[in-house]
Amino acid sequence: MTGEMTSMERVLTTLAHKEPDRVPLFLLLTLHGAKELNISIRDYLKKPGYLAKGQQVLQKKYHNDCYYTFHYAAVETEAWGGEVMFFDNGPPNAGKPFITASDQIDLLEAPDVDRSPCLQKVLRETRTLHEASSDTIPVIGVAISPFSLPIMQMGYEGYLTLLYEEPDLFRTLMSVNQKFCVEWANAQLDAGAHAICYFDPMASPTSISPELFRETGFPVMKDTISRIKGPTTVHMASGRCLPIADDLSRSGAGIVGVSALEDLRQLKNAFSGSLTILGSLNGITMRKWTAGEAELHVREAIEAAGAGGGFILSDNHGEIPFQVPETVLLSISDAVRKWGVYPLDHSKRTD
Amino acid sequence: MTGGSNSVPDLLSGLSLRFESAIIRSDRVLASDILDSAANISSLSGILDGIIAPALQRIGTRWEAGELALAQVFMAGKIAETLIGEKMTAEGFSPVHPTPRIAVAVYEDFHSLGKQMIITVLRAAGYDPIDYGINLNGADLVRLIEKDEVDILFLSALMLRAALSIKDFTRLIAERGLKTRIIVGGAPFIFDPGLADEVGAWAMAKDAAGTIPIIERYLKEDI
Repeated sequence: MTGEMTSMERVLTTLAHKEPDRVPLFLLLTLHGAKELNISIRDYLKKPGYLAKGQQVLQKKYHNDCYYTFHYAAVETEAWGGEVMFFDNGPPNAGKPFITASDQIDLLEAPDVDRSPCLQKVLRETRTLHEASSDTIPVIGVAISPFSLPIMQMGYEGYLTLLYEEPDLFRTLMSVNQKFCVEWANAQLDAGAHAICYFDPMASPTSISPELFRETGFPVMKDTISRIKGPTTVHMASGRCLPIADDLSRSGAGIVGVSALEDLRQLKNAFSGSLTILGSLNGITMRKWTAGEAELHVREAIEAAGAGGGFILSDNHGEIPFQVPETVLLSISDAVRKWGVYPLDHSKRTD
Repeated sequence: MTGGSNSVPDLLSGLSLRFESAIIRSDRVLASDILDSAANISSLSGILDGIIAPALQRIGTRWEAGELALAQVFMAGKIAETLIGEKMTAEGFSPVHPTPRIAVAVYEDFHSLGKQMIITVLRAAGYDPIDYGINLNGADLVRLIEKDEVDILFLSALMLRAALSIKDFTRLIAERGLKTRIIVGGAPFIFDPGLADEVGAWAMAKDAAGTIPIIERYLKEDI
């Protein structure tokens, strides 16, 4: 194809709500890099160099339009002193919550990014990927929102009780979390990330009511994003977002990560001209798709949301499960290049 | 009172709708007043079956439809559980439904919200579930359900990895000849409705309130 755009050009064009050469593909893969390098998940995530190498292999193999520096969500609570549990066949999990009583909140201090080995490891991989990208492939960093981090810090029940019943302590926790989130996100941008994926599942109407979100999570989201010195994606990590679409459009983010539980056409209409949509292939069922099913899902997503740009094809959670086989990922990648070429033509290509 | 809109079932039904609205708004005082007024026309058992259980089931259905958030469901269940606990204590009342023997656990994970919501709903509906806690594996659970002679085990899993490994547990149960029914729930099962069958579960609960019809189905099939 002549005049093929670089991944960066493709993404920037769609972010401007214009049509690039084809629909950009963000296959948000993490642990698949360990498979490619034939090493354990723990070594892949913990030993320097492997994740950056794995991302480069995955990008080439699947014609992916980004490098994703995400290691595991619990890397942030690890920096706060929390436990992390590693597994041979899936992502690491946060261990027991480290805030076990609300009176601990007044004593909390945000970790120093410069002195945190696990965060510094992520920054090293980010620098390597930035060099590899030569600014032609977007490098995407990750930060958990101050509003959602407490799910890992203190457990969901403890956090909900705090949110409903202890507003002063909630504000204290948001303040310390926000300081950390901003510092962490900006450190990744300084290390070469082109954008930050701001995961905020707690903001989703799947987690809390839109009214409570507007009182609590939205001010935190808006203020935090305004202090992050680069473009952001606000990602609901599988949660719904239609009832708060107008709020998210005013959040300062440029992209929204949406759920397979909501209709992509409705989402495109709701965010039309304001936010670019990232999503929303179902990562859980994806592991069982045939090549034909993968093609159909990609085609349907592009038909629903591709027209006019403002759309990046991805999964709906922000991480494709380890169990999704290479054959499915290749089928998705092939289908994007078959059905996602602009100008879109939904009636052709039965070859 | 017989027939028409003044029958006890109708009155309880109306109170159940008001109770639902109150607990969704976290209005504990109003919810308590509604139960107090219901005490004039019904036994505690009737209140559980006629007001609280239907209210919690409707709330679960509304969550499935995306009308309510997880936090609202959690707080509503928590208020219902607290109120019914207070009334039971005041009346020296034991659980309305001592059987079947029910247990609840989180499989290989620390995320306990789903488990806690199930316990809350079951207690509010008059059951007496055993809380096995979090981060249990198949061997732990086989030992526990054998010891407690559990009829129904509700298992919550958040991560796909954990959900898939429930298959090893159900295989172990079959090998041991245990009759315990395994009911699964959690995000992976919502995003893939075929996953429950794949891991050998007897049923899937889409939400905490969905546990009650499953227990009723078990009781019908067990007769």
